Amino acid sequence: MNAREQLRMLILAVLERQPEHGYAIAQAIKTRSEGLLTAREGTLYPVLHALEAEELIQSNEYDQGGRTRREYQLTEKGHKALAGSRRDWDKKIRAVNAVLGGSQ
Amino acid sequence: MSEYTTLNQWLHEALREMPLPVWRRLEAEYQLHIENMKREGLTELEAVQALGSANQVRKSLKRTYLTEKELEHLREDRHPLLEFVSKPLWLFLMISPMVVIPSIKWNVILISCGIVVASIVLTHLITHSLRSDYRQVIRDEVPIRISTLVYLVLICLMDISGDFTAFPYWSQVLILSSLCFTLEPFSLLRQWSRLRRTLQLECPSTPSV
Repeated sequence: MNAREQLRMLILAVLERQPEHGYAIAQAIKTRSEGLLTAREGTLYPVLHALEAEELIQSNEYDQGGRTRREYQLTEKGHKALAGSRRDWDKKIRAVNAVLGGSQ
Repeated sequence: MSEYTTLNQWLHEALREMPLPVWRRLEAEYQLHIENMKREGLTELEAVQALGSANQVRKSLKRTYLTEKELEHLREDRHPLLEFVSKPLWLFLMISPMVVIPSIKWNVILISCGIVVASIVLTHLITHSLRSDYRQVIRDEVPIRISTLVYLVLICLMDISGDFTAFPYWSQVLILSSLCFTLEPFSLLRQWSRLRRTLQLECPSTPSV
């Protein structure tokens, strides 16, 4: 899984809890990973747009304090894609753990 | 480290090939993002540095959207010479096997007519929700070319009555010329999802493009 695929999975996981706007997604990834995962924040929006094009997420505009914000939320298709990514990720982790454990 | 010191410079580099509706939406999102970062105490320079490579972002966006140049290419009238040549060429490609192979069976001609009709109907179904200017380009080009390719490949594969032996390179010539003829619509189909997505941003009020 390359960096872009990882970012896709992390975004879907953040949006699973609740709809968020771009900045809050970046902050959530940073906070939940205790600062270990930080993407170049410019790359976040192209990935969000790609996920929206694939209908894994959808976005809505709303006004807040006179400014228009765009909030992203997970679609049904996105929930399924996230579940699939989690399964793949778990498999990889188990495989790596098995190798690491075996060498001890 | 990013070479840009202001958000405007960075945006200009990252979005410079994007059509206006894509540009506007991303510009608003990045501006809000930077404002949030400034509220956290970062300077504009630090915030722009945190965005990373504008070049990388531009490349990434091009995977999702068509560029303004690509859209223009779709909208613009085709070259008059191409217009002049394309229909006679199509007729030649369709009729030539019937002339060259006198013993061609009628069911091949019927199959080929079926392919033409099916590809026209399919293209109309796929493109019915597209904006009219793009729709017309695709409807004019794609069915004719794809049906020509399928028809000629079919004829060459059937190798009817061995008449190709009189013209040893005929089948290769037919396949090659029809491949060249169909190259452009295939590239158009490859861009289909990007075109749909780009037009969705152009007309966000309509449920489908």
